[in-house]
Amino acid sequence: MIGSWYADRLYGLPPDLILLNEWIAIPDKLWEGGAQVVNLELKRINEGVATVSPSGRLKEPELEPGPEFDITAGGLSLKPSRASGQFDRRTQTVLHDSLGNIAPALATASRRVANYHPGLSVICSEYERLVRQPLDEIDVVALWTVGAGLLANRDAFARAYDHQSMTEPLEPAHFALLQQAAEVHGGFILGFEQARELAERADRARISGEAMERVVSLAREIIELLLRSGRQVDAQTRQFLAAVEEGLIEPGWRITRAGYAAYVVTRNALIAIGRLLNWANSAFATVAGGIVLTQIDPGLVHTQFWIEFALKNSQQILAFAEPFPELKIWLAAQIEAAEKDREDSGS
Amino acid sequence: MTQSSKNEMTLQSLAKADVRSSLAIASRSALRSIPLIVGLSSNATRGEVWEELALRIFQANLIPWAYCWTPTISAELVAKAKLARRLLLEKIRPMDAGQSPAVHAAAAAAACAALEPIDRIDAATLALQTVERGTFGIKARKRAFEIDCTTLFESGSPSVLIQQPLWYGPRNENVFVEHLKRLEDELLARGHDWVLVC
Repeated sequence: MIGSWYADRLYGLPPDLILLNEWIAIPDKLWEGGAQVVNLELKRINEGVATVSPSGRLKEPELEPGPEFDITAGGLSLKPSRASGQFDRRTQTVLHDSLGNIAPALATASRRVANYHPGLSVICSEYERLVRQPLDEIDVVALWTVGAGLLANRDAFARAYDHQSMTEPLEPAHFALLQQAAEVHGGFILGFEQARELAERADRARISGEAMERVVSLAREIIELLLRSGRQVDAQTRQFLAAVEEGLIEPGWRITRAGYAAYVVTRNALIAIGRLLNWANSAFATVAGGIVLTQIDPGLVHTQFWIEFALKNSQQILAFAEPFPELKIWLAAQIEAAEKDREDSGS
Repeated sequence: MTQSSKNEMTLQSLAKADVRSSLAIASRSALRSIPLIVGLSSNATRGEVWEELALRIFQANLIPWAYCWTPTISAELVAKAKLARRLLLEKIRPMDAGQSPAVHAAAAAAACAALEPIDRIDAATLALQTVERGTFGIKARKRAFEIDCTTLFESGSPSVLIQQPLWYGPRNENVFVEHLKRLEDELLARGHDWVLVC
């Protein structure tokens, strides 16, 4: 598998700015030295930056496969992802067409009962928005994530329908639509390789440990905080996050895959925020190349907001990261650097 | 609207925009043609010469792309772009010179970054030259270029464009994947820890 610099460009990933700066600074004499010399120097720089660079930077933790985020001019934004790998186009087209008919009807029916079941309405509307894209442009990862909430709701309402819970049941026709959407969704989404991988990871995580119970509960708190961040999260991403949160309808996260989806979303969103803090720290602390921050966020409005967000909610953020040492160390370093910067500037 | 009037409109829009807009278009077009480096290996250029040429193509791609991420025009980067272009052109031999879109797109993209003084019209012209020269998977490339332009002009921001995946839609162009795999294999076979691509 192709990796490294070119692979990152293929997927539109932002650069490692410190690394980029150091690459640019390679002396001309070395560039002129040929493939062996240049590759040795690039390797030396990479290894230096990957552990601890001259600016004391730690390696960024790995993103969990699933929805990814960026801070753009519009705020915290869900990065679009597309289907990769082979899939059975004919079957997927039939299922997609079918969902194209069911999802709008389900969303409309759910909006009518939004007073009683606001969460279901949020999920169905977001699901409809995601699934109405042409097949080649479906955001498989986002659809899997929101679909996990749809399935969780189906299960919850099935129990309500059987009088096994206090939840107000749905009208039979409405429940039938939800059931149908859930079934077709299951067939459709698992027709994509990425979704199968996510489902496997979710199932492995569900089997694997009590610690995740608390992680998911903290994930929910952080998603709520993100949702309260107003215009610093772009509108579509807000709808997506709301749907993810509403997917956590069941009390025990082990019951559904929605809990795992919430964990992934929270982890990857925090890495996007941490990356911004990291850029801010390096841009303010070093000349580090006259790098990007002002391009991404000209007035530094988002940067200031997310620095405050991380400082104010550091306790929840670090509690969430507790079971993942590399994430916790990295986030703690970003928060600490931001705190120090604030103290130094006397604000 | 004919293709030539479309191109004229794009040229005019780019000429009015920040020079980084032209660089973003040029850089992405050149990057799309990188897997075609493998084509050079099967011609007369083999061994160390091929590896050196591959390095120069990467170098000529790296600098314009890096330029898109800098907030201020930097004399250092212009000098690096000039060096990259010079080293690339020195490595092109007449026998394989004109044959590879990867070479020509990289050279045009580096020229775009090497402009001194900076001139928006020249930068826009060089960007469109890069697009034309980076011929790879004509239909997909044309579509990618059109979406690049839409993204750029709707967002008004080259930094938004430079953060998009290189190809839109499922990247299932078999030729592309096959070339990319061969490129990786051939570079790895040189044993020089090709960190830019492997």
